[in-house]
Amino acid sequence: MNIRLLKLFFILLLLLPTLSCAPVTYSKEKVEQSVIDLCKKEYDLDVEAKIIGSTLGVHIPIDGLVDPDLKLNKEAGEKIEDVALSIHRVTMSTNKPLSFYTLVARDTKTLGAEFTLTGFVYDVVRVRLLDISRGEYHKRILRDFKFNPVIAGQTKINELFKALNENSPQIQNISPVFYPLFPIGKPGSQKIQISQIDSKEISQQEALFYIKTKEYYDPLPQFEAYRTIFPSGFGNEYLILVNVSMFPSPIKEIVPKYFYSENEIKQRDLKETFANYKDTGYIGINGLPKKDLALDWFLSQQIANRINMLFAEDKKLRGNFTVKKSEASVDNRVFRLNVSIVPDKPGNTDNETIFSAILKHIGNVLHRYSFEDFEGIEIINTDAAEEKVYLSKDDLEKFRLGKLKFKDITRS
Amino acid sequence: MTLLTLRRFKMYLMMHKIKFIITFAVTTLLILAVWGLSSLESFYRHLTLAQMPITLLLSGVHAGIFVFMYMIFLRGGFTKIKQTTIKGDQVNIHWNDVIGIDEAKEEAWEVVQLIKDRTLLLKIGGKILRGLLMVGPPGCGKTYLAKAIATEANIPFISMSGSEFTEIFVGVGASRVRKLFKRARTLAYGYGACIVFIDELDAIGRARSFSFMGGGGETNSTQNQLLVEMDGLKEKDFNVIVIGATNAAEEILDAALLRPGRFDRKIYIDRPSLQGREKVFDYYLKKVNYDKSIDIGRLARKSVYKSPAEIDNIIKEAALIATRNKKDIVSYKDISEAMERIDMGMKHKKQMTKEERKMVAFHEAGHLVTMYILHPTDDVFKASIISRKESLGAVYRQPREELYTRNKEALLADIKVSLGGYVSEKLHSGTTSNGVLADFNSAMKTAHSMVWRVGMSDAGLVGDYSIIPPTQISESLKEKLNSETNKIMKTCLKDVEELLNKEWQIVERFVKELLEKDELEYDEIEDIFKEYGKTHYSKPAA
Repeated sequence: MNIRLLKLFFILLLLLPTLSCAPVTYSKEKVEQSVIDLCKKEYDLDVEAKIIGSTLGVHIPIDGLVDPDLKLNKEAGEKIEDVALSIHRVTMSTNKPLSFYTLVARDTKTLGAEFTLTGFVYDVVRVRLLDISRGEYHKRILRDFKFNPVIAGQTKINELFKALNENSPQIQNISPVFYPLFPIGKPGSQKIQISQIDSKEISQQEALFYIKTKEYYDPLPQFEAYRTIFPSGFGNEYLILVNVSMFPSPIKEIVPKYFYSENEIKQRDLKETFANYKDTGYIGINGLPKKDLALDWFLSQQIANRINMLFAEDKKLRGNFTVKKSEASVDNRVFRLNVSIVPDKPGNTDNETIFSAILKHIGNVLHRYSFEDFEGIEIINTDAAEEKVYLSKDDLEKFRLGKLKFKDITRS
Repeated sequence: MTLLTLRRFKMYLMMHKIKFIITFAVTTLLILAVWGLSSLESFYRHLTLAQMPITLLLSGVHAGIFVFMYMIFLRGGFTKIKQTTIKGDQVNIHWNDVIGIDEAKEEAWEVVQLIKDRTLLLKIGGKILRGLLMVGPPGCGKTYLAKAIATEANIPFISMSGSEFTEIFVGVGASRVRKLFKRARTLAYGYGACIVFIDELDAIGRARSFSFMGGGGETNSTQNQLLVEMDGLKEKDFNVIVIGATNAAEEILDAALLRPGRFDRKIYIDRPSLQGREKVFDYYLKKVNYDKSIDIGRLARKSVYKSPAEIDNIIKEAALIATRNKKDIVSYKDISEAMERIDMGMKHKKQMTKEERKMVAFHEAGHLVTMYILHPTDDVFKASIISRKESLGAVYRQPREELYTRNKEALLADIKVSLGGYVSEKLHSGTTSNGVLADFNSAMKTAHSMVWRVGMSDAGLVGDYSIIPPTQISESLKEKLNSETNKIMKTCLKDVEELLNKEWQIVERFVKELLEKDELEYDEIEDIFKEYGKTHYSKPAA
């Protein structure tokens, strides 16, 4: 009897692992919809989701993301947490091979206010498996709370064009920039219709817009001849530079395609100019990722963030140095870190301490991710006479292990 | 029939209650586990399944530690109580298999009838049987008889040894008794009755000791529980019959156990009689290939006082000897050798000098001739000068029939036989050896007992003087008693000297034969005596 019971028990026990053959909870075809449904069902939140490559992007508009003191609203923070949890649940229990997720929360009230969370899906799994601590996990997430120059610029540009069409008195002083429409058209007859608008985030605060328009007008009598060159409904282009630090008038510069010089009408290749600028942003105007994220880029951003944390937390560094700037990028498989670290006490510049701490830290981060798909790392401290340090991948590993001293590193 | 089936079903449920509960609980938990796992998101489901082996292992280790601690500290170790439960029809020992103890069988048959006719008995108003105590020497078939009772009555049979109840932890024995009877009552409920057989009852049934130091607490509590269980049986509901078996004398057992209402019946199972032994030999010989010309009656006569178990052992040993000698069948010689081996031990030849060997031969021949010619009850069945155990030689004797008393003539003959060796040594060489020590010890003990205890002296000293404390017995009486003892010894010595002087030729013949053959069998001894026209001792005409 006992033996039979034991056999039955073990047979039932052996059946349990067959549950692992059950289908995944969130199938790869329905990942975006699963996130949307989960947020709606569990938290009554309306979100948008989109997958680009192996990056899942989620956007949630929040009414009142920032408080009047420009800090993240507590309730909004809770909503972000809920959406993040939903993302984690879906990314962990799907058969879609996802590597990254982005969560963008945008304020519907405060123009351009935006909170972005970017994470590596495998980090989520590792923290659930207690492979990494929660503290380490939080250091690995990219958090960005800022005023997005693209969003702010887009709105301001729309307002600007509206004001131009209404021939508002507030824009009288800048309307001549919109050449040739406003200089040659009868006042009140000019209408500009935006046919295309492209934007690039060229820095944390600046965005460049490339705008294509169709313009309608009645020429002033003296400019009747222009009709042959610029018939009503002609196409025009503008480049507009927006800087959010100049709020509430963030439009810094407007460049029209056509200009009058040396008694003739000339034109610029704005499209090419726009193309020459590098887009540093990865979130589109719709709050969803513009491109598939790569691990090297993610690590570079994480390293830049961690430098700030390192100098704020480390006992030796805290109080001795201040990080004014920490930016990173990956270029030709080389991590390029641009920092501005200044001593708190004048004359206390100790580049060896600064660089040693940064290099060790970078080495550890890359080692913890077992990331080897790079050739080297370059660090420039713009505050220390542009001192630059370059380390190859092997040297970085040697330095991390203490086999290479700082004095042996090539500096310029 | 339907009621009985229902009862058996209920009994089955009662007996396996814990198993059913565990099965239900485990199945429910597994179903819940499957349900719970299915409702988990696939990541957490895989995580849980991945952790399951280590979780199970850890749970097993924790459970093992808990069980170990529980068993060691609360249950007195891991020794599992052996309750051998067999249904009546599966015991497979039939009434006809019990042989050689016919008187005991007759009494036991009554018990079987009482169990079978329980309903009738209750109708009449009689008391049902609760206990049956079987007393007797080991190997006489007590367990066999108990099993046969179970088979005949067709009821379940639970067998336990008394020693299995005892434990160093007070209360464990009592707990085992409770469990045993609980099980028996459940079986009785399902099958109408149940036999609980407790072998070696004296292990828990000894008279209880009440010590202020608390000694014997465990045995007492075990026995108390047994008393309670036997007395507390519900006559209307359960028919549990306890059969106890013991080798110990009845007096050793606690009086409370023996009172009516507990062990109501007592059956004395003694060693089998001549006829019994014949049946036993016949029964066990049938189990082996044996020479059909073997005289079973002769074997029975040769194995006086042998229990059925001993006879079984003799046949098994004989079969082994036959196998060793590469024979297909067991012969009389094999059985005879087996008996010797069991009774006398293995032979081992010591290196003796020629003179010493001759002295031993004279010593044994003295015993042999004296016993053959003078002993009224015992026969010589073998003489040997091969050393076994501590002795250098021996003359093996056997009563011709079962005798439970010994008269004066037999006792005097015992003394004479003991002195035969001494006299023979003396007549042969004019000196004696210390090989007579055991003989003298035996002879003196017998003579002393005859005079001091059983009134067999010629001086009319009647009574058991040994019970009088030495300080209260007069010196003159002591002297007289010792004088009578001495007289018996001297008379016996004189008789033996006369006999051996007279039959010295036969003694020398036996010495010669022994020196040549080392051992003489019964038949050879008989032939030599016949050669000299000598027969067994015959009772003098009145």
